[in-house]
Amino acid sequence: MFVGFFRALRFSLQNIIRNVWLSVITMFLLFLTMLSITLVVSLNIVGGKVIGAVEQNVSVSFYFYDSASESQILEAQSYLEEIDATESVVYVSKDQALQEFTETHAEDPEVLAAIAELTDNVLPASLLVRAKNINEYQTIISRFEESEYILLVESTDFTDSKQVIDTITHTINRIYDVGIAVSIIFILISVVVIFNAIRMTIYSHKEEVGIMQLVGATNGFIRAPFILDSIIFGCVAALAVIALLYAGLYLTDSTVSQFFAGYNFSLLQLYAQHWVVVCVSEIVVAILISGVSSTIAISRYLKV
Amino acid sequence: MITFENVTKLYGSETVALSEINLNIDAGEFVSIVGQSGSGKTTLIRLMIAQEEVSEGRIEIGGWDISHLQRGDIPVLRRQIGVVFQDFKLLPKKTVFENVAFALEVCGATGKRIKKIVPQVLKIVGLEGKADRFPHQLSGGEQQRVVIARSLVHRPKVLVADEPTGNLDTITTHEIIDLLLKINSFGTTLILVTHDPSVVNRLRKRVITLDHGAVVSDQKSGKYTL
Repeated sequence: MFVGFFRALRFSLQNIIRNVWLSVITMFLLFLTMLSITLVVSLNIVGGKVIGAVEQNVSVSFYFYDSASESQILEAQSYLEEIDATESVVYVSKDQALQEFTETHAEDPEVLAAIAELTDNVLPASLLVRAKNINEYQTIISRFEESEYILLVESTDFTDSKQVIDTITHTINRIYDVGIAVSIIFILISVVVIFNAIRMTIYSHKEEVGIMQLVGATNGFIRAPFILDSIIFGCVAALAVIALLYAGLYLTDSTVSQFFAGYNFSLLQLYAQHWVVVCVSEIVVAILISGVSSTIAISRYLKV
Repeated sequence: MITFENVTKLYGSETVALSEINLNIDAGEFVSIVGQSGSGKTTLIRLMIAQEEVSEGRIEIGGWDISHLQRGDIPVLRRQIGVVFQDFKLLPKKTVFENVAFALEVCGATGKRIKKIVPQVLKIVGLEGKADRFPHQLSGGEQQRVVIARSLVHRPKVLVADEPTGNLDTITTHEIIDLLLKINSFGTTLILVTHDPSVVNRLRKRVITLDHGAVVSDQKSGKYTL
């Protein structure tokens, strides 16, 4: 069995060497296909992280008049907490607000001096509300505006991050759609090129195949070198993509990490943690694309 | 050894290549099959090596019914029947040794076995000193000897030679026929398809004559009568 396998592998390598340029072009196209698929998947991961990061920063704050008592604000907090769409409600008292403001502007002496000039704390107490879902902020605001507590509120601060998120989502989806379209085109080109490469290899080995049949080689052995060709094409293309992917991630890691500053996200780290899944997926998908087209070519042109 | 029972081969519904063939070939026999072009000689051979399937009847080789073989059984059959064709079917980029070894390689023989058998068969066909030559460095007769050597590597019980001397001159033809007789003398059943009267007449062996897909004569020690 091993003798047969290694002999079929030797014939397969001979096929590749004899048609070296065709083999190189085939592997290059498969490489481009795998690269485009990898980029689409990576874009999907990065896109998800970007949206997640932006969503994490979305909240609505209700700023209360100084006349509102703490017990009234806490009642308003309870009211907000009872709304299904609410994830959390944090009460920020006037003192906490001043403390946070001071901490935030600790390196801005002019602002600190201005605060020190004031005898009273001018910062209002507030309720910071986070929704379970980005789409539900408007519901929470509407419900609160319908309640009696709205009379205690001086202002509402809701930066409409939904629009930002929608824009990001829209942009990512557009890139994703283009990426998928490009990947599909590359897959189709690869399938056609691999199909033709195997067909030409079969044609150029017509005599050998005839002799193999005549002298009693099994059908499996006759087919094996051509199947191995496609597996080798797939493996080489996948390994090249894996090498480029990790090299690219290594070189761009600091830039990507800076982009996600504060979110503890590194694509390199993510791919390094899941290297087995990444490598196996790349190889399996590449062999699958290559294998399907070569199987069609073999079943059509290799009559055994 | 080889039995044809009412074998008919049709191409489509109207073209009759062979009609009601009944034959018995004993083990170790040397049989010449003669006939004009289109008489069904090559079809008979193709049926024997399962390149075609019979339309009706049955063919047995060594008690094995090969009329409707499973695909997986065809290689087993072909390892028991050596085949030599008129066109040499040698691989031009392989040496004599590699061409002969190829038949063993593709059937999973070990390197050790290949190194043992190939020189043996090259010696039988008289090419022991030419193992490293390429086909284009050999004469037509020598190329045919390589093909015969290749057909012998599985030690077949039957050797089928379809017009093996068709491209050769008279002297080389006689050399090849002598080689086939030598192989036959080792006990291999030999079936020679030819349309060369001088070959058949010189052999004085059994001659089966086909015409329009039917056996028209079967002589124990015959001559070319067409």
